[in-house]
Amino acid sequence: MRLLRSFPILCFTLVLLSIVGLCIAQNSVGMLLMAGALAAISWYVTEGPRGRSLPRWVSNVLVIAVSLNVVVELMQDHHDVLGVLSRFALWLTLIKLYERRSPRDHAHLLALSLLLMLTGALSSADLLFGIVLLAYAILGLYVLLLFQLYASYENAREERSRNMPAEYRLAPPAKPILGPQAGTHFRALTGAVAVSGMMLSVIIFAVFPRGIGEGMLKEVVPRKESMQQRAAFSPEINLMHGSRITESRRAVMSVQLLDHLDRPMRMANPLLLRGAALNHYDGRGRWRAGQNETRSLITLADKLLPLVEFDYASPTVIRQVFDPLFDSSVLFSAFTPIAVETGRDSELLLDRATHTITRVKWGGSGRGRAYTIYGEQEPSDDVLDMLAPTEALGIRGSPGNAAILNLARELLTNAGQPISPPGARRGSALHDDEAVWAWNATAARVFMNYLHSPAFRYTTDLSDVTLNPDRDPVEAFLLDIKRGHCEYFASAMALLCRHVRIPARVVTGYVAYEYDDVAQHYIVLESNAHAWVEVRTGRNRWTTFDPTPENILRDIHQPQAPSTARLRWLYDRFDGAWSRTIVGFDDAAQRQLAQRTWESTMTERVQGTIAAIADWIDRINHAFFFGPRGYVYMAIVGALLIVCVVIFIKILKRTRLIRSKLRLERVRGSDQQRLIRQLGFYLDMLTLLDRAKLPKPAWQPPINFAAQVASSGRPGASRAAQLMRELSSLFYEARYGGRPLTAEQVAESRTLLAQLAESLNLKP
Amino acid sequence: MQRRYHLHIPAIVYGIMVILVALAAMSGQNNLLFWIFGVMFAGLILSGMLSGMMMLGLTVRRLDPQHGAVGEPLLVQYEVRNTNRFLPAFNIHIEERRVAVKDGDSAARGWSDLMASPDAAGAWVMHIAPRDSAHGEAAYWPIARGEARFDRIRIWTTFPFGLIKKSITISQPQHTLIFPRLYELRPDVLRAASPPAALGHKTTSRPGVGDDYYGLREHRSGDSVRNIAWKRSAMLDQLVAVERSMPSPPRLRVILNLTTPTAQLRVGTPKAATKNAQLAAAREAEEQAISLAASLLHAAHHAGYEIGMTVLGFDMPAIAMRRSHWHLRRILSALAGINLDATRRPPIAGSVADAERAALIIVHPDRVDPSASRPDAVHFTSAQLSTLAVKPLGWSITTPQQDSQEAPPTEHRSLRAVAQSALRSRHAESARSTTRGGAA
Repeated sequence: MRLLRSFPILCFTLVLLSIVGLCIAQNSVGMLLMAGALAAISWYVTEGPRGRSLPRWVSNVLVIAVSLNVVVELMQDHHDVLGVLSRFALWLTLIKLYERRSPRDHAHLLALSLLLMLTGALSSADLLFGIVLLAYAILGLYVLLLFQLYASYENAREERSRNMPAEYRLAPPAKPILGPQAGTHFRALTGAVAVSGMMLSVIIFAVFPRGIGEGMLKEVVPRKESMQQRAAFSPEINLMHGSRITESRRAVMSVQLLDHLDRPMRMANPLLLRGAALNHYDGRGRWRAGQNETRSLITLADKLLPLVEFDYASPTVIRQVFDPLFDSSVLFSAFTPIAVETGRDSELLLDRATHTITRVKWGGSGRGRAYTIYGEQEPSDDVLDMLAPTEALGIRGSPGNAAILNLARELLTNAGQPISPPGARRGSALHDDEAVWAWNATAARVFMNYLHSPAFRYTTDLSDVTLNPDRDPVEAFLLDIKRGHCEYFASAMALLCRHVRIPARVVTGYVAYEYDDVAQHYIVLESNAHAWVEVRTGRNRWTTFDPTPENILRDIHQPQAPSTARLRWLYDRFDGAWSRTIVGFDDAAQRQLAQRTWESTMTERVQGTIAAIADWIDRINHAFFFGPRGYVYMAIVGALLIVCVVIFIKILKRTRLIRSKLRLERVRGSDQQRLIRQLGFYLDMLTLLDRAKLPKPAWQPPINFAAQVASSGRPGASRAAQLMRELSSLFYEARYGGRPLTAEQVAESRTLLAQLAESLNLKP
Repeated sequence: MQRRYHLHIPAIVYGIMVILVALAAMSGQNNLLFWIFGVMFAGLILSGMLSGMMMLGLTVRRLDPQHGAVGEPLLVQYEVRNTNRFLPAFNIHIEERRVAVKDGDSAARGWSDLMASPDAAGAWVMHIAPRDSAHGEAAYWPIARGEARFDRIRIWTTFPFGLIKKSITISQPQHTLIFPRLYELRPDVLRAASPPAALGHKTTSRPGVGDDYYGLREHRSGDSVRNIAWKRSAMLDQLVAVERSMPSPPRLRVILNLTTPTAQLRVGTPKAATKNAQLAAAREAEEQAISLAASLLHAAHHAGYEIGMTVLGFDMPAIAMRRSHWHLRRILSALAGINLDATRRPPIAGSVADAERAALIIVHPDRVDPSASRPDAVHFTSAQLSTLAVKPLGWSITTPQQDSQEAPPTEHRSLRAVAQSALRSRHAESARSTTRGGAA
């Protein structure tokens, strides 16, 4: 009955959890406070000392009102179907919480809570919501199983009382009929169902084909947030369509820098990880990459592929080991790439003009998404010429904005710089000489300083800014708005440069600030997504300029205070794993999993497991400096462990046997333990009788059975019967007399057993 | 034994929900929804597997319900045994399947024809431990007399998720008797119906457990000290015990006259009534007659009478005079077993025990037929039940309107007057008919 009594509160907890889950998914603290408070109060109102509930007609009126509100909301904003649906489900749940709680109402509440979690899952894929979802699934399973019993009990009771004639009250009411240990069995069964259900659901999750039927319910179901969106990185910029810049501190990648001696390195300045170089501008705020003539396809096997000839032992060569937590088509690099190693069969596209690498085909075998880029910290002109044998700037898009041109000239004039490169004539191509490259750098610095001035303010909140679709958003930023995020700053500087014929491009990627001293690698966070500018300062040389105010940038990307950093770090780890394994599981990951699972045979897997165990033993031995003796010690420890396990299993089996044979299940607490310890001799006596082909029927008292044995005429039967009587007396004394056996009595029982075995001609 | 899975509404609704979640997951390529779909689908599979495994090890047995009575709950117990070694069974429902029986030669009918709300009756066992058994109890509410036949028992469960209903049907033919409805009769019915000579306690010439002196005998081990005849013992110098005589309680025989076939009964239905309505009224009159006879015997038993019964119209031997609980039960069983659809036979000569020293009450379904009865016999008709009865014993399923119609009349006539009224009607009847009968 205690099991059934716990159902209402557990059901209420489940509903409360679903409300919290929805509010987390919707990221709405206000909704959480309001709905959570209303739900919590409902328990006091309905189950408190007064026990009031909402009359049916009132709840029906409220439901109609909420339904009308849904219609109105949908007419006002038919794009937010999911939000309206979730709010509708939330209101229905709150109304139901104030109603009377019959089994049917409980069923409604359970269904509504499931609906809340489903709408939450459609809205969010955050780790926090995932944790709530997991807790909901486990608690929901228990509550659902309990609901079956609760509803059946209530229905049975109600049917019995309903069918009973009014004037007759002598029929017994329906009572739950329970066997022994109902609660234990129920919890064990729930655990087994939870484990098997979880395993089955993971298998279904892994094998369900991805990519089929995508977008068929796009009016209602939003497309999931892609991992690239979650990583806040994009190989293009569109200033007219919001921002990808986020303040989320979810880890997206780790980068380890190794010098030529394989020692981890930490750079003095933040690490700018180049992802995409955007050199096409459409004059409407959109930057994109792409220039097929400068790209070349490179194919990698399971080994290193140099892009240029270089000396591996050179101190300027830095090995960058990337372990991205999201599935990106771009290979990042902080330095000029000179060699690539993916550890798998893959095809890559190298853009020799921008030094960017994109992925075309990613082989199945290999270790996750990790890859290594060899980079030259200060590449020589020879290296750069080898990397880009032909002069190909890849600059596209005409800088035809008069306002920006005027501003650029004004800035240069104010800085005392010429408004065009030295020796350049109007309409002619740029001259390839050092003076031009120097002027490029100087002019770019003038523009960068201008953008660093207090006139410009860094912000990611542009919700109050309305951009005119007929006006270049960069022009609006430079002349009117003067606030924005790094993409605005980078776009503005690149366009200022281009208007005075300085080749410039916007680069998107990450700026890595956070260095993990323990793991000795950089941790790249989602909020580290950044954009900056590269300006041509040599024939094949491009210099990096970051127009975003440095102090602001440092404040944004600075690691958190040490007190919270550890917790945050832990959460970010989990979040990264969650994003990589659960949220980012797509058709590619599915194929990879399938290949890993089916390509290796069972023998290979067994061999792999044995090798892993051997490796593990080696590592332990190595860690404790045992040397060859260590293997002997470990063999002894292993053998002892096996013996202990065998003994433990034997004791466990004997304990269970004594408990069941001597019917000790109903004896509780220490008494049961004592009886199990002391009454083993009685079980041994029964075993001896079985071996002697004298099995005692379960219904027959032992003294009576002893008399029967005595009269059987078997040799030694009378002696055996006498011993049985003595043993039975001891048994009764302890089992039913409530007197613990003394040490002497225990010893005596052993002696009697030995004598019994002797009298029955058996080995004890 | 028949095992099967049932598709029911929750499973269909759940299946639709699973499909919708799958579509939403596919449309949005949302991995959380894929996982939720996985959980829901796993639930569906586990529900079928677990309930199947659970039911595989269950056996059920109906314990003999002995007998029931109209107006009293019939509690039927079922023993459910779980032979699974590890798996406990939860949420086991037990229900009787309907039996379509209408045997022309016996009163046997399917149990559902005799019970109120047959669909709502059933037992429920919440938990059965592995290798254990539990007893579930179902309460039935008999509304008609007869032989209730049970056959197939179905046990089912929807555990664990309420999605898939798995059942096992086991055939266990069994029957039980439903005794006729008993009424509490007015307290003076028996005294009024019995001739003065039949009243009062008498002794017999046999030793027994009464109060009157019968004789002396030697003392035996176990005799009460109170029974020792001390004076005689002193005289004989050995213990002598007093032996008491067997008491002879008043005796009553009830004769139930069912010789007239149902269709020929005259129960006073309006002329405009259809034949079916007339038959139904006649059958109702016969049932009331049976109830009246049972109530008279029941009241007599509790008043200390020795009772016997004769049923006219069927091949049923007269039940001798006895006084015990088992004897009453035997009589009620005989009344429960009367099949009113069977062919009626004329009364056998001498079936009414003229020579028997006992009060005689003859119960007729429609009108008094004084033929083949003793002059001192008292005749009742089924229509008089409402006058003789104070209230039904146990419960009754009647609407308030019916209650008011069937309530005893406010005019409280004496029983003697009732009996005289019955006699007057009998005289009038005999005057109209050509058949000559005994004097009242």
